[in-house]
Amino acid sequence: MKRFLPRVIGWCLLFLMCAALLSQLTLHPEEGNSPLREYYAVADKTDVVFLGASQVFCGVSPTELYEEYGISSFDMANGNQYMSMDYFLIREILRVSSPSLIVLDVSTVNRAPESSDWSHRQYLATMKFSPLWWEAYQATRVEGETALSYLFPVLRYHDRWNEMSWHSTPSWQGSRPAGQMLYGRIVPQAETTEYPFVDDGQTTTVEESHLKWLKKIIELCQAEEQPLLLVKVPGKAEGWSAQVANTVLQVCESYGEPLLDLDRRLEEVGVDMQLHTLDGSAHLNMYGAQALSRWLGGYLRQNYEIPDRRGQQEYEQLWQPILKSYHALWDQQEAQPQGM
Amino acid sequence: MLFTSFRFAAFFALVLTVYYLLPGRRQWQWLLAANFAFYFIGSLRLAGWLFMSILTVWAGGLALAALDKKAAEQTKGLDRQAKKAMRAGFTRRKKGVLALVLLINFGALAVMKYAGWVFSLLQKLGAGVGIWSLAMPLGVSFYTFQAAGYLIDVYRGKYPAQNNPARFALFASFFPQMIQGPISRYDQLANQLFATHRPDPQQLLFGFQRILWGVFKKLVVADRLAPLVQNLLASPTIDQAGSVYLAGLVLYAFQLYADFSGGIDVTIGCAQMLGIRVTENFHRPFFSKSVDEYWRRWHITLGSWFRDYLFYPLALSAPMARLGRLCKGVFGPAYGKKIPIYAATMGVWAVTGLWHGSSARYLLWGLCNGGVIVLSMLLEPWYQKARQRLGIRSESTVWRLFQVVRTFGLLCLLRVFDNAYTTGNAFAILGRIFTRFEPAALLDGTLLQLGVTAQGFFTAGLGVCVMLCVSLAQRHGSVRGQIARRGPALQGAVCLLLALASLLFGAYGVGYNAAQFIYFSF
Repeated sequence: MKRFLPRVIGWCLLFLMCAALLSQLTLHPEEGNSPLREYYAVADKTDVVFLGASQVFCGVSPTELYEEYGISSFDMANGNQYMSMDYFLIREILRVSSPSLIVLDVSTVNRAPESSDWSHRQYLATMKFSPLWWEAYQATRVEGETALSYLFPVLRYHDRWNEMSWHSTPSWQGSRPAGQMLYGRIVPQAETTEYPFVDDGQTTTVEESHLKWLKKIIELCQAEEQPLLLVKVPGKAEGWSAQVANTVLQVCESYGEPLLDLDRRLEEVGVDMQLHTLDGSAHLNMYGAQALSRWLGGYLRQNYEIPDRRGQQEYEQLWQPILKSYHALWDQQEAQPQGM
Repeated sequence: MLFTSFRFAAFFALVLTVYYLLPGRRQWQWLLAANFAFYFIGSLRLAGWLFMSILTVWAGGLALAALDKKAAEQTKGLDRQAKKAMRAGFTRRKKGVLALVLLINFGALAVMKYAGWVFSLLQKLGAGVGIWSLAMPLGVSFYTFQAAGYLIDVYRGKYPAQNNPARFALFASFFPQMIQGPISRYDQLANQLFATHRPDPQQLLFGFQRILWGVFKKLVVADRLAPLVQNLLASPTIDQAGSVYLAGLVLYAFQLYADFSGGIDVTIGCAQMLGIRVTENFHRPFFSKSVDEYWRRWHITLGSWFRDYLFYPLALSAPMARLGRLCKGVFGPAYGKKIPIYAATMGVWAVTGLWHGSSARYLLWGLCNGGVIVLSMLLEPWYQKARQRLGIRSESTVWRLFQVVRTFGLLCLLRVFDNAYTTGNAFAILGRIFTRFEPAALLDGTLLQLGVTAQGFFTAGLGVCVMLCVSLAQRHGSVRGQIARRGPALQGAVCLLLALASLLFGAYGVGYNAAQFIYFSF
């Protein structure tokens, strides 16, 4: 037994080393590319955080907000980022920073609360390990996933050999200024598309398991005295309708929170779905994002106490490279428009 | 709790560590606690069935022992005739106890297993009944058979009854073999369970190697092929060429073997790490030269259970004796002896079929297997004559290879009843194989549309080759023993390779259904 145990320990260590090596070899290049990783670096210089799914990273431009109003903001948004993950992200944001305002897009409220595997995977892979991490993992884990796979990603990506493509994809750093994704493509809304929604004053049933996370977010922000703005970013989001909007409005009102439903204020915002959408009204393109952000900046300045950071050295140091990258991407998209 | 899950690994690591830290007299109690924990985690709501089985069989054993004791006391001093009469009375009472306990246990098993099927049959026949079925408790077929085997042995006086209910519960619910066997015998397992065990590096290493080998077979071969088997053979629609179905049946044979024997490897490995030897359940079945031999080498413990507790009592029963006498008069003395054996064989195979599942196709599967075995017994003299005429030596390699391939092919075809969506589909698949074979379909990419990629086929194929090579190496004794003789470095390297191969090439995690062992559902 005296010789056996050290041998066992030795082989176990060798196995762990091999598993770590295989983890590096099979690691998906996008694994760590979540907005959260970027946010950790700018958390103390961010006054407004926007949360939501693709409607947010397409439709809200932190760069325009900074250029026009000096608002230092960040898009914490990923494709299929559902409200369960939004809740944990807000807790993490409040753990590491104290933003003046959190803006939450409620477009995803009527989708199944189970997060998409990929979106939550990226966030959990970049979230710092803490009891909150464990809670977020438990709430959002998908079938077949193990917590150990975050330590040894080979458990999650072991079958990447099956794809036979080992090329790495570049990090989104630099390609998403402050979390925004710029798309220059214009695909006008078709005549047959029913948008904006016709409000018949009716509500609909949204499953409590779906609404739960919205309620938890409101309760959390109220308990923490964290200013929260609930917004519906323009766009024909999946699972959204005028009836859902009315239902969500009722929930918000029951908590004394307003809902800024921008689907109903398209003209005022200046969004035109013949020019400002990249896919026929589901998502705004960069022109739409510019229009929306310029209007939103004015709204935030009027209604919230958000400082103008322009001219402050540390903010300029942060924002100048972002502005540069934003304008370069803008020019690139204008020359060669692309969509999602 | 899946054997291939981290949850089970953590559970077993805890059980093993505490087991060897405890003093010997406490080890069996810890194992019993582990059994119940394992069962409660997996099937808490249905744990009552396990306790019912344990209590009734244990009480039945005590009642049989009490009757034996009473018979011994009351026959003391009696003359031979009186003794015989007294004993006959006690035997009747013992039979009553045995029948009652077996009826309770097998009755409960039958209700759980077949109620849904019977009700759906009645509904199909137009009876105005609703569908009603019970959830199956974890491992119910296995622990019922194991406990029933104990009771019959006690009845036969093979060993004394266990007085301690906790000790009996440990035997009846030993957690590594709870999910899919093997079905152990009390006299082989019980004493080992109650004995003191100290950690033995060799046994620990051998057990761990066996576990890794089982995990490799399950994850790399069985679970990788599972989507194809499911999408092709268990599909409600029959729309592929016969050659594709035949390929599917061949792959199903490997999947089933890797799945079942992989699970048994984990069971035996876990037991070995605890210092307990569990009966082997497989003996290189794919190298069998006849269907009969195959079934003596596949799921050995179930086969021997049926042989000892069903076949012999059935073959030696009074109705069979009457049948023998009847046949002797009609077909002559040779068939007078053989026909009861054939009838008992068919009876056992019908039960074996129904043990595997509650559906007509399982019954058909059992009867077909029994039929092939009986037919081969009947035709054996003609085979011998034909071989002699053709000048084929029965010990020649080519002939043996032919027998192995023939047996494998035959069993692949029979397995269609075990996996097809319905009995009708099973016949339709066989029809396609014999009437629309279309070999070109094997190469036109159809197989790649059934849930397994080309890389998946390659990996599973490599896994199958490794399995077959290991089976061949087993002809020269234990493979782990052969590796151990070459030194600890190779032993460690083999463990490392198996673990890494399972880690990298196994079908598990997100995007794969965590597949329960196939025999779990039996």
